[in-house]
Amino acid sequence: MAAVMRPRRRWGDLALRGYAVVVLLFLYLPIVVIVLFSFSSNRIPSLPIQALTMDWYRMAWADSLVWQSLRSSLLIATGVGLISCVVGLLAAKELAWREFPGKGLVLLIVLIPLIVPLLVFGLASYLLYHTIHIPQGTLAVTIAHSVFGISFATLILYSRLLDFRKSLLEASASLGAGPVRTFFEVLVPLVMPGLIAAFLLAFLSSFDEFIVAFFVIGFGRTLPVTIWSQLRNGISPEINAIATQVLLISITLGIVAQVLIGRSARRGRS
Amino acid sequence: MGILLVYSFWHVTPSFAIEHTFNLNNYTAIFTEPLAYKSFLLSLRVALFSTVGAILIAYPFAYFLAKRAGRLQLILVVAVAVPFLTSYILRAYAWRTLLGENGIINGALQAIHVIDRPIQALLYSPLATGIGLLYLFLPITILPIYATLERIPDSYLEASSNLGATPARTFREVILPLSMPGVLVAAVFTFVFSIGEYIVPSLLGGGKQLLFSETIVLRVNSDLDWPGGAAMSIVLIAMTLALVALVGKRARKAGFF
Repeated sequence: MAAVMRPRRRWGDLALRGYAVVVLLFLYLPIVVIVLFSFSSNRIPSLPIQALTMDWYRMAWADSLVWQSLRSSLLIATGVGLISCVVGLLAAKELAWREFPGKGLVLLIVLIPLIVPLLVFGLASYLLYHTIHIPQGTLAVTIAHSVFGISFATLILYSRLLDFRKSLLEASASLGAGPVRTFFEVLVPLVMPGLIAAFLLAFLSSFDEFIVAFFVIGFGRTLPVTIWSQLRNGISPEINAIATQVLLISITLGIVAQVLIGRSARRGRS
Repeated sequence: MGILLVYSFWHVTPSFAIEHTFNLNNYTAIFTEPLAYKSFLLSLRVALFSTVGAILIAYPFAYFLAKRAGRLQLILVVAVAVPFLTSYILRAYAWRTLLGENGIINGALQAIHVIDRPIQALLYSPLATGIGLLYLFLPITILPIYATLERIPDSYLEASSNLGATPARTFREVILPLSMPGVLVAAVFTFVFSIGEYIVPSLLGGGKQLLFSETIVLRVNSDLDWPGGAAMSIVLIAMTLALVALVGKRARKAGFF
C-alpha cells in the first residue's frame, strides 16, 4: 500500500518543501533588503548596488539623536521587562493555582491589551494620563508598555505554572521553609526559563513599539519614534544602517526567547 | 493592571467630557460622514484581503511544518516566530523599497519581461497596505494552524488511507475539518490585527485613500476632535472584542494563550 503511494508522495513532498522555502524567503526578504541596502552606496535604495560602503553606519553612529533615543528605548524596555516579570509572576500564580469565580473573564481581560489595536491603546493611554495627570515622557511610556508587557508575561507564566508540580512547594514548606524562602529558592529558579522568556518578550515588544510611545512620550523620543520621523522626512539610507543594528538586537533576543519558550514547554509536557 | 486597563477604556467614552453633554452624534457621524464610513469599508476590505491571503499562504506551510519538516521542525517554528518579534516599522518600511516604482519587484518583473514599465499602483495604494499587513501578520497566521495540525495524530491519517481514502479525500475529510479551529483562530487574529493597524497604511498606503485608523488619527491630530476619534476607537474595540470572544474558548483550547 505504502509502496504504491510512494512516488506520488515524493513529488508532493518535494513541492511542499519548495513551497516552504518560498514562504521563508518571503518572511525574510524585507529583512535581507534592509541589511543589503545598509551597505549600498546608492542614495536611493535601488538595484543594482553600485558600491559597498560603511558611510551610513558612520553617519548613524555619529547621530546624537539616535544615541539619545536608543538610550531611552533601552531604559524603558528594561523597566517594562522587569515590571512585567514581577507582576506577571504574581498574577499567574493566582490564576494558575487558585480557583475563583470569573477566572475566564480575568484571563480575557489579561488578553485585551494584546488584541486591541495599538493605535486605540495609544489614544486611550494619552487620555487617561492626561486625566489623572501623569506627565508625558519616559515614565508614561514605561507604564503604558507595561500594560501589555504584563499581559505577555502573565500568559506565558500562567501556562508554565499550570504544568508546575505544586508538590515541590509543599515539600519545601514541610521541610520548614517559609513562604518567602520557598518563593525565591524553589519557585523562581524552577520557572526561570519562563521568566527569562517573559522578560525578553516584554522587552522586545516595548523596544519595538511605536504608536503608543508616540502618543504619550511628549517631546521625548524612543528609537521607533526617531525612526518614524526620519521615515516621514524622506528616505535616508542612514535608516537602513540603524535598522540593521536594531534588527540584529531584536532577532538575537527573539531567538533566545523562542528557544526558551520551546524548551520549557517541552519540559512541562514530559 | 486590570484596573488601569478597564479605567483607560472607561475614559475613552467620557471624553465626550469635552462637551460635557452625553450624545450619540459621534457615533452617528461614523455612519453618515463619507470620509468615516468609506474608510471603514476600505479597512474591512483590506483586512479581509490580508486575512484570506495569509490563510491561503499559511496553510500549506503550516502543514509542512507540522507533518513533513522532520528534524527541522523546531528550528523552523523559531524561524517563523522571530520576524514577528522584530521591529515592525522597519519591516513595513522595507516593503517601500520592494514595491516602489524603482523597487525590486518592479525591477525583477521588468528584467524577466513580464511587464514593460513599472506598475505604479504597487506602492502607495490599498493593495500595498494589504500586502504589507499580510506579510506582517503571516507568522500569527501560521502558528495557530500549525498547532492544530501538529496535534492530529499520524495514526488518523494512516487509518484513513488504510481504509482506502485517496490523499485528497483524507485531506478533505480528516485533516481539514480537524484543523478548522486553528484556521478560525488564525483568521480572527489576523483580521483583528489588520483592521486597526496604523503604521502600515501610513507608510505604504500613500494617504489618498485613507483607512479607518488613519481617519482616527486625522480626527484627533488635525481636527483635535477627541470625542469623534474616541467614538471611532470604541467601534474598533467593540468589533475586536466581539470577534475574539467568538473564538476565545477555541483559541484557548488550541493552546494559543
